[in-house]
Parts: sequence; structure tokens; C-alpha cells
Amino acid sequence: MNKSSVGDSANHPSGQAAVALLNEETLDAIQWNLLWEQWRPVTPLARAQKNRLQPFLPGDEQRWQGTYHLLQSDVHLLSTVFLKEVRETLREMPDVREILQRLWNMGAAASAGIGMTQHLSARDMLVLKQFAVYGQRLAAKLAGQMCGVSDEALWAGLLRPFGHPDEPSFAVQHIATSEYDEAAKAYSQVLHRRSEAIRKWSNHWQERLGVRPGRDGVIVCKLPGQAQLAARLKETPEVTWQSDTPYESTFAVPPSLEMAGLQREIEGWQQTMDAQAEGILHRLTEQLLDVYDQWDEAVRQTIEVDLRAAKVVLWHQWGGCTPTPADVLSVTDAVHPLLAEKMAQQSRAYTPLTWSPEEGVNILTGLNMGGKTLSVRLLVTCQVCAQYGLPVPAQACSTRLYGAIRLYAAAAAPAESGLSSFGAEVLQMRDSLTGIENARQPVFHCFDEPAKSTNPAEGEALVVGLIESLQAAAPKHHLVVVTTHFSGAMRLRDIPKFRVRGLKNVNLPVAGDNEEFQEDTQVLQQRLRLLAEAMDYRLEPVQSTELAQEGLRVASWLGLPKSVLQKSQRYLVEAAGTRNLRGNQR
Amino acid sequence: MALNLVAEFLEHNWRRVAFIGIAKHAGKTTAMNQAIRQAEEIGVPLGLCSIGLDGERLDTIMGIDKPPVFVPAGTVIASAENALLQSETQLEYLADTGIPSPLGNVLIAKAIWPGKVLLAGVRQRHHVARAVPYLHRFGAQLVFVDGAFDRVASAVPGLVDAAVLVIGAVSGKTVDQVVAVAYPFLQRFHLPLVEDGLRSVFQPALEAQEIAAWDGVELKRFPRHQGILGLRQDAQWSAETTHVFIPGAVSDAVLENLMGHPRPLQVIASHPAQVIAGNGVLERWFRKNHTLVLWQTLPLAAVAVNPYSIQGYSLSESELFEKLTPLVPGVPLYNAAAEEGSDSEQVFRG
Repeated sequence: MNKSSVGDSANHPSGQAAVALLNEETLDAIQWNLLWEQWRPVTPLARAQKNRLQPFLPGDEQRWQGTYHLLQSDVHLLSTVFLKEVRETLREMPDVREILQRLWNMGAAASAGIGMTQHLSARDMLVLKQFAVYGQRLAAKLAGQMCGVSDEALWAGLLRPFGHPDEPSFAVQHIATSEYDEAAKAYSQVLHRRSEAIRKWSNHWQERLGVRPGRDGVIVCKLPGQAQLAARLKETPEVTWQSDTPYESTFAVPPSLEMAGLQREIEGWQQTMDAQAEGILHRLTEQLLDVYDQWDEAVRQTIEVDLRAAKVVLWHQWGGCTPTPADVLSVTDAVHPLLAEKMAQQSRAYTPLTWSPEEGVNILTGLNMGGKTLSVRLLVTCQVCAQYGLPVPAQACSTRLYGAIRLYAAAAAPAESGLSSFGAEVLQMRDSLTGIENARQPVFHCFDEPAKSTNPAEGEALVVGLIESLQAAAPKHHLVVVTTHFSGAMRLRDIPKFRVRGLKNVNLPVAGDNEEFQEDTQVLQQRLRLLAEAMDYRLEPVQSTELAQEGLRVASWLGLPKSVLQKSQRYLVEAAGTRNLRGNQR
Repeated sequence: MALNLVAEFLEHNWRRVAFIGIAKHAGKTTAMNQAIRQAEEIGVPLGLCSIGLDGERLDTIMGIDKPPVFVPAGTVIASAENALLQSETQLEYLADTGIPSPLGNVLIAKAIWPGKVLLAGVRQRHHVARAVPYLHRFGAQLVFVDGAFDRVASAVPGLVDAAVLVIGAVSGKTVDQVVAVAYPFLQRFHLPLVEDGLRSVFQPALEAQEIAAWDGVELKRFPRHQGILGLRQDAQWSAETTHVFIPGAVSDAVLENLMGHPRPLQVIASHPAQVIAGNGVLERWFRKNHTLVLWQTLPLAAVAVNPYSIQGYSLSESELFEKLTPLVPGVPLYNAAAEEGSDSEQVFRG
């Protein structure tokens, strides 16, 4: 008997914690909880197991790929209709964890020499049998359809001790001994005779006293209305007076001799049957205990089928893929499931992400509202899905297992931390550099516009310093992505750079001089929609060291007054002139 | 000729029927037992459960204190695990509903032989709503819900399709006393329905299960508990209100609070079981020119009249029928305890 593996399997054999792979900030930034919720096994067993699963880590590559081979096979073999049938059967399978735990405890007590003094109840037997009946139906359904989990013989073995193996119900009668059957038959007959005797007895008292006692033999006379009846009963020798209150008198009449005899007979048969039923349940409990390991295996198989079937559902829901092994993460036509759903509700088009960053540090730039943040978050999301063995929401994905994934996004520091936003950003940079320097396994770190909470000159300097340091600290197998607006970063050498393509060559009408800042939500939504249509969100590698300047166009389109924009434009020209002059002087 | 209740149920396609009594010992079990026998005679598979809501304290807390019910073989029942262990029949366990009770989870079981079973553990309306589909699923063509002693908790549209109301001599020493006790119970089922035009006005309040007041122009909504706290004390309440929808119990306290409203007011109750105000308050309510209507009603399948009291006396059967018949237009009245072939088997139509 081996209890340890009941509902205890995990992706990660060594049981390493997920703490090293992900932190809360990263999970929050990609809304992992909402995505994780979309993977929906239907049995309580698998739901509990899902919450215990650990991600795959470097060193697990073989099992990781094995998981995806199974997913590919399941996707290929399980049609949508068939999948629905499988999940409907799974839904019928009750939670047997608590019962199996008790069964195991009974076995442990027996092994310890205490002896098995308890047995499972009829309700426990019902639940276990239902689990086995539906498990057997599932196994028959899955034969040849899902490898490793269609052991019909296992389920048939579990069902055998219960009798009536095709029915998802349980009765002691199903496995009754002939002694029990005889006792039950006699019991039924004597019950019938007692009913007849009670009817005769009741009629007797009705005729004799004009009142029928209750089935318990009690007569209650309400006072004063039934005072005469009470007085008469007190004079009746066979009737026992019990009590008087100002409101009622209570009497008891004895059962007839026949009733008393039948009652003794009933109690005798009842005891016989109870003892027989106890013995039957006890023997059945022992039989179940003998094959405890098989119950354990049945639970394991159920969990596996459920989790895998739910993954196939997720695959279809996300339009997912299985990642292939590679040295670095790359995605083709990745779609964020939550965002795509939201945009579809708003009838807006979604531009899938295709991106192949290189090993080491990468820079992503592009205009505001161009989707840099979303691109980075989606890239991280794809990698986290891959590490959990889930379908990756993309047409194609190749990657490796990383030992740590961090997404450093600008977020307000908690008030109790005593840090400003800038302070929090500095700590993020320190955390990343330390993490990379100390990493024994490849890591994947992303920064979303670091150092934007201080003045631009120093912010730019910090970003340049950070990227150079990351480049120096990160051996090739790490992956680092930094999104930024600072042109200084674009001038760094030997670092792959990407940009969002940005606004297409279309005319976006600008706000007029007299136009007030538009707060009308509908108008703003309309402008956002047109801006999105004018935007090419695709990423492309760039060689240029200059940043495209499209921020003012976007600001204009979003309703910033023309007067402000004109002043901003003039400042830009003047600043460029000053820089050129300084350059010439040098 | 005796009333064939089961045939009535089937004819109207009432598949879930509640048995409710106007008082404890009214004869509800006798009426249900008779219907069970009729179902057995014509081979209609039955499902049974019993709701202990609002019943005796012991019933509510322990889910027990119900007399056993004799069931034919094949009857599907919903009852607590430990109550089933006390049954005098062999059971085939069919499902665990997951409904918890102090006597263990409510299980679904089928009687292998005829015998007595103890129905307990179903204590709330939503438990009934969960248990009844199981009974149908396991083969019950008709489901009887044994109601609480002197309440109509189970007589809720949506939960059941119809109700059998049992009026027993236990409620009074004279026919007039019994009729006086029965009258408000019967009235609940014969209150008029709300006008169609008002349904669209109050629909949002119904969906939100909130109290709502209408003055012909504006619908004001109040939280459900405001009915107990006093609607007229709420700053939002307007003296111009003409109609008020109460999703919960329309009790003495609720009507007393609204009694002094300066213009005729119509209270709209959700369904008959929510009208729990007593006779005295209702009499004064209508005297003040206020009205009471229902959003939804529940058909009365029959009225079972029991002229015998457990206290040892009996009332005139013919007088009871004579006085009750005009109060239930269109509804059959019968004596559930009548002996076969006797004059008492006669059926009256209201």
C-alpha cells in the first residue's frame, strides 16, 4: 500500500518550488491568475491537483517535451465532440479523497496491530462505486484515444467487490449473503404482520374507549373539553395514567400481546440484519483496502485525463501551439487570450505578435500607444505558459526552460515600503543585475520602460548604464528585453534592437485651436479606434540609432490643443538646432 | 367515488406537488400516504422528500421529528444519511446530493422493498430545488414534497408545480373555527395577480430581489431588509406611492407599517407562500381600501379535509365541505382519511 502518491503528482519531480521561477509582480503584470483560471479541469481531484502543479525548470527538458508530445497527440485524437463526452463523464466522478484517506487510516490502524474496528459506510461505498463505474466508462471511451490512461482492467478490478458493476448505485443487497437475504425477507414479513396487529389494536381501543391511542400508545385528553373521557380512562384498569396539567391529562395504553411479540421479533431480525450488514460492509472495506494501490492509481489516472482534456480545451480556446526546443524564445503570431477576447467584444482587430529576440540583451522601442508594453507582457506570458506545459497562445513558439522569469514594470511602490516610484525602480534594477550575476541557469528578464520616474537626462543615463551592465553580466544563454524611449539606448553597439512599426502613412485629423480637451468617452473611444487602425503594431529589427518621433502626432490625435502642440514643435526644432550647434562647436 | 389525486396531477402535468397543512396534525401525512397508495396502484414511480423549513425547532436543527412514511418498492427518496439508516426497508443508494445536514449528507436512495422511510435533512427551499431533479433523474415520474407542519414553505412556484392543502379538525373545536383558520391560507392561493402593465415596471426589482415603490412616475428601490425596518420610515418613501413590490415575506409587521399610508396602496407579493400576515391584519388592510396581489401564484391541486382531530373529537364532515367549498372555486375537496366505499369518499368541487 502506497499512500504517498494519491493526488500528489506534480510537473516537477524534484518538487522544487516555483518561487525561484516567478515572483508576484511578474504574475500580476501578465494577469496570470486570470489565464490560469481558463484551464478548467472538471473533477475536484484534478482541480486540487492543478493548484499544486509546479512549473518545469531547466533540467526537466525531457519530461517537458514529453508533456507536449502528449498534448499534441491528445489534440490530434480528441475531437471536440468526443472531448465533450469525456468531460461529461469526468463530471460524474465524485471526490473520493476524504474517503480514501479514511480507508488508508483504517488500514494503517490494522497494520499497527490495533485491528480494523471501523468500516466505510454505505454512503462511502456509493461514492467509491460511482467513481469506479464512471472511471470504467471513461476508460472504455478512451481506449486507444489517450495514451497511458485507459486501463479498463484496473477499473473492472475496483468494481468487482461491489457487485452489480454496471450500475452506479450501491446496496448491501447487491453483495448480500444468503443469510442476509433470508433475514431481510423475514423482517419484511414481520413488519407487515405488525401493521395488521396495530390496526386491530387501534380498532379495539376505539371501540372500547371511543378514542384511538397514538402509535406510541399515548392518549392526550384536552381539558376541560375531554374531562369526562379523562375520568373514564382513570377508571380503566389497563390504561395507565401518566400526568395531569391544568390543560391536559395524559394516559398510556399497553401494546397488545401480539404487538409486543412481533416487536421483539422485529428487533431480533433487525439486529440480525444490522449485524449481517455490518459484516458485509466490513468485508467490503477490507477488500477495498487490499487493492488500495489500485485506487491510488485510479485517482492518478483520473487526474491525468482531466488535466489533459482541459488542456486540449484550452488549446482550442486559445488557438494554441506546443513549443519546440530552442536556444532562445521566439513566437509567431502570438495572441494574448484575455486582450484578444476583450478586443473582439469591441469589434477591434488584434495584431498578433511575431518576435524573435536574440540571446542576451535586446532593446524594443517605438512610439507611445504602439503596444510595446503589451508585446513584452505577451512574450512573458508565452514563456510562462510554456514552463507550465500549457498550450502557448501562438501559431508557433520555440523556446527553452528558464530558471527565472521577471517582468519589471513601472508600478507605484507600496506606501509602507517607504520607497518612491524611482526608489522601487532602482531596486528592480539591482534585483535583476544580482539575479543575472548569480544565476546558475538561464534567466529571462524584461524591463518595461525603466527609469522613467526620474528626470529624462538622468533616466537616459541610468538606462544606458543598466543595459551596458546587463550586457556585461548576462552570458549569451540569458534573455533580457528592455523597452525604452531613450535615444541613448539606441546608440549602444552590438545590441539587437527592435521597434514597433508605428503609424502608417495616413492622415489623422488633428485637434483644432479652439477645440477643448475632449472628455467625451465615446469620442475618445472613437479616436482610439481610428488610431489603432492607423497603427502598425508589428515589430521589426532596426539598425538606425535614431528614434522615430511620432509622439506629437499621437498627442494631437488624442485631442491635445493645437496651440500646445505648436509650442512643443517649436521647442523640438530649437532643441535640435542647439544640439547641432554644440556638435559643430565641438 | 374517491378522488384520484394522482390522475389529477398527471392530467395537469404537475410533476412536483407539495403537501402542506394549515396546522400540525392536520392530516398531511394521511393525505400524502393516500396519494402514495394511488400512485402505487396505477404504477406511477414516485419521488419523495420532506422540507423541515420553518417547522418545529427540532425539525429545523436536527432535520428529523417527522413520522416515517410508508413507500412502495421502487420509490426514490431524498433523505439524510443517518435518517436512511433508520428506515425499515432495504435501500439502494443512488447519489450523494452534497446537501449537508446534522444527520449527514442528503442522499438519494431507492426502496428495494415496500416499507417505512424517514424523510429528513432537506431543510431549506434551495435544498428542495437541488434534491428534486435527482428524484426525477432516478426515475420518479411524480415527486411529492412533504411540507413543513403549519407553514407553506414548500409551496413556491418554480419549486413545485402545485400544492395540496390539508385542513384538519385539529385547528378548531367547531366547523366555524376551522374555517376561520383555513380562510387566510386559502385566500393566499386565490389572491389576484398583478396587472400586466405593472410587470414591466417592477421587473428590475424582481430580478434584483429588492423592494420597489411606484408612484405612477418614478420607481424607487429599497434594500430587502427595509421591509422589516419600516418602509415608511425611509427618506425615499413618497406619500404618492400607489404600488409596492415586496420580494420577501408580507408579514403583519410589513402591512402594519404601511397601513397608515395616506392613499390606497397595492402590495405585490412574490407568491402565495410569502403572504404570512394573519387574518386580523389582513382584514384591517382591506378595510383601509388597500389591496394585495401576487406576482405569481401556485395552483391548488386539491384541498384535503380531515374531520377527525388527533385530540379525539370529530367535526361534521358535510358541514366542513359545505362551508369550505365556496372558498376554493374550481378546486376539488375530499376526505383523505375516508374509508374505501364509504360516503366520505365523495368529492366536492369548489
